[in-house]
Amino acid sequence: MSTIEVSGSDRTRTKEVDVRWVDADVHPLPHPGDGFLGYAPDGWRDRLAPRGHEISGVSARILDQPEANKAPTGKVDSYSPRGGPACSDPQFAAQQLLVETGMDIGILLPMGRDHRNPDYEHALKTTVNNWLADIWLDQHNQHRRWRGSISVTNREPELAAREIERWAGHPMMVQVLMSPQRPAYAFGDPKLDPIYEAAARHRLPVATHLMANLPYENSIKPVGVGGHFSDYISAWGLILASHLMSLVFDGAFDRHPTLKVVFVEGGFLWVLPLMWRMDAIWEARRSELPWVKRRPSEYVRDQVYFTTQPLDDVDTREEIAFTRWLDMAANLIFATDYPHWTYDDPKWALRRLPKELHPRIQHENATELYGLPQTVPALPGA
Amino acid sequence: MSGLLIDAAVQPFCRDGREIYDYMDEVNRDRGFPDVESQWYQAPGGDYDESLYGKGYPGSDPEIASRHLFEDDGVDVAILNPRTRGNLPDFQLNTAVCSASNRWLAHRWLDEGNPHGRFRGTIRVNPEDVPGSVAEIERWGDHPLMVQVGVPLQSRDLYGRPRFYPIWAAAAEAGLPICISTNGGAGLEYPPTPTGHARTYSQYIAFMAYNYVYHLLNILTEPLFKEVPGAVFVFSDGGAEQLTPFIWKLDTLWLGVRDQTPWVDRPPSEYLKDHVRLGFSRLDKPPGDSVPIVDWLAQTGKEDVVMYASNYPFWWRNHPDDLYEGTTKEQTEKVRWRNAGEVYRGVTAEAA
Repeated sequence: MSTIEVSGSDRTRTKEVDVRWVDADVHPLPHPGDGFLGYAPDGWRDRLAPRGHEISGVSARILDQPEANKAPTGKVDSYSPRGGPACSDPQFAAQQLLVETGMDIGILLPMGRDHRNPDYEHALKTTVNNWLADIWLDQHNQHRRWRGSISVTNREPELAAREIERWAGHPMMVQVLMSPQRPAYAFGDPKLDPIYEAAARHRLPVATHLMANLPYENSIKPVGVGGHFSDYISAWGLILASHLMSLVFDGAFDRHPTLKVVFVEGGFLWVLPLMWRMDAIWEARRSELPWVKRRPSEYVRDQVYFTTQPLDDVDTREEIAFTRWLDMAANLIFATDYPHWTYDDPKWALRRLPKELHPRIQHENATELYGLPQTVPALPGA
Repeated sequence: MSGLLIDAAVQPFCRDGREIYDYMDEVNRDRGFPDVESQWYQAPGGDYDESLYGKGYPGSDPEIASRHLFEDDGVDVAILNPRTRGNLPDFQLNTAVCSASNRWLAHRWLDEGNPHGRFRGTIRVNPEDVPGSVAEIERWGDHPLMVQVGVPLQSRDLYGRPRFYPIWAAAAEAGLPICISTNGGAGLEYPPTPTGHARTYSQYIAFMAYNYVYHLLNILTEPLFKEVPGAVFVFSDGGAEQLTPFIWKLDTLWLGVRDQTPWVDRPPSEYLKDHVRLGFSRLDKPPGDSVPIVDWLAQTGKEDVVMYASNYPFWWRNHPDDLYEGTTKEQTEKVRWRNAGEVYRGVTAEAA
């Protein structure tokens, strides 16, 4: 695999192409050759010992995706000849996702790295940020197509806010990323205000994404936990629905009017009926919610974004009709979920989304939200 | 107006917290246990329709409830589903409370309070006590006015799990659907949302309507309908507005990992019409004409599973006219009585 570089050493002469596709959900992992633990903060390197499954190499997921024992999470063609997990080789990933699939910019969301101990989790997130910034955003970003997420722990909001400050000036870090799982606080809890203040101060959206379905990273659900991958993951959107209710009813959007929240890979159709119910409850019980000054649906439409993957594999006309009822042209952002097996191919996805929304979903909403350029350097072979 | 009207969710109350003790068996009569009230998430200002306070406990007088439901709202048959106490840690006491609830309901509401014959009842059982639940269903299964079995929404495990199948089989054997609904918030429960305890009542009440989704998706994934083909589940609290988004997710993922659930031999959504019903109220539908209601109801067959539910006497109580604007005549009939008539025995024949 040759290195994907912009042609020549003088970037000013490089041909620029218009940004037509932004992929808002790409999952890089450390390659064994990256020396990941070397990126740990002082005093932590020896304490970040690998967990059991990282030694054995067996999938630790308690609700397993198809043939999990063969291909832990990646789609089968996403493994680099350099070895390592899927999407751990930035050059191979760039070739596959940017050159062959045609994504112009990929937003990187490292997954995992939650921990029972909040200090330990903070150290892990810091390590991830140091590694991502070096390997993906610097060493292998000559094409300036990768953008990063600042991973933080929301169980130590003050530490998280400091981590946001540490990266806020980095030109390639475009959002904050925190886990929705095992929440110490629902997202609207005032205890998370330091995170939102720091993010809003630097115009960084706050994204959330499933971190893993490892046993210790899963919370008990209100009436019991799903028994199979299909029912467990199908209900996943309810966690985000509950966080969204908390953001609205606990007044977070009112306290942070410029805050933007991105719900990644959690579905988006449920948002429409959720807005109906929140609006109706708010109408009926406004006197108890003096801090919720606007209709709940107005906050959602102004401050919340949803990525499109995974689209449902159901009757396309019905799916498109529902998305039209949702009427959220400004809030939907395309994502592939590369390199996971639940990947949405862009051509397949477009057929399932209303035509009039394509430009907004493909790139316009993302470039506005993340402050991305309108053009990027052309890649060889693209 | 389109024939009958069956109200699938009415909650009868005791006159006061003491009345249930008159129906407790002797062994348990001196025990102490909480009332059916929500202890932790009571609505500020009260859980019930303002107009119903003042003349005893709201929903506790069969005569007054009859007037509101049958005369004012034009209901023909009302399904009564009392709350018990959620999961009391002492499972024998919990079963005894359920038995008392059944004796009380049969006496006060289905006999004394039922001169018009329009009330129907729910056999309350304790799912943590499988043999006790089966015995209770066998005890009441022949009662002509008991039309469903009732269990708490707030469970410790999802109801598709095999340990519960003997209860579902006993219900199916007796020709009774199983109603899963929010119970008194007085037992052992997990936090009501997947993000923990809600800080506001608004989030609590908004999210509780969605917890049925966890049960529904699990019921459609485990080998339940293979083992108990006659089982029918009623989620009377509603939440139908989320049915399509989540059943589409399940249809999609079922296809991807169907080797893990070989007993589910068709898309899960295809089981809905024969095995699932949802209470339907104004909170469960699009507001006004924001989406075309006829198409919305038809999507993933919602029109085949929703049943009118007044939720009397709660503050979000519904009146029948809240529901039908813009629906077709056929959809209106399904909501008013046809969908209920398919799962509740005897309610359409005796109603007129």
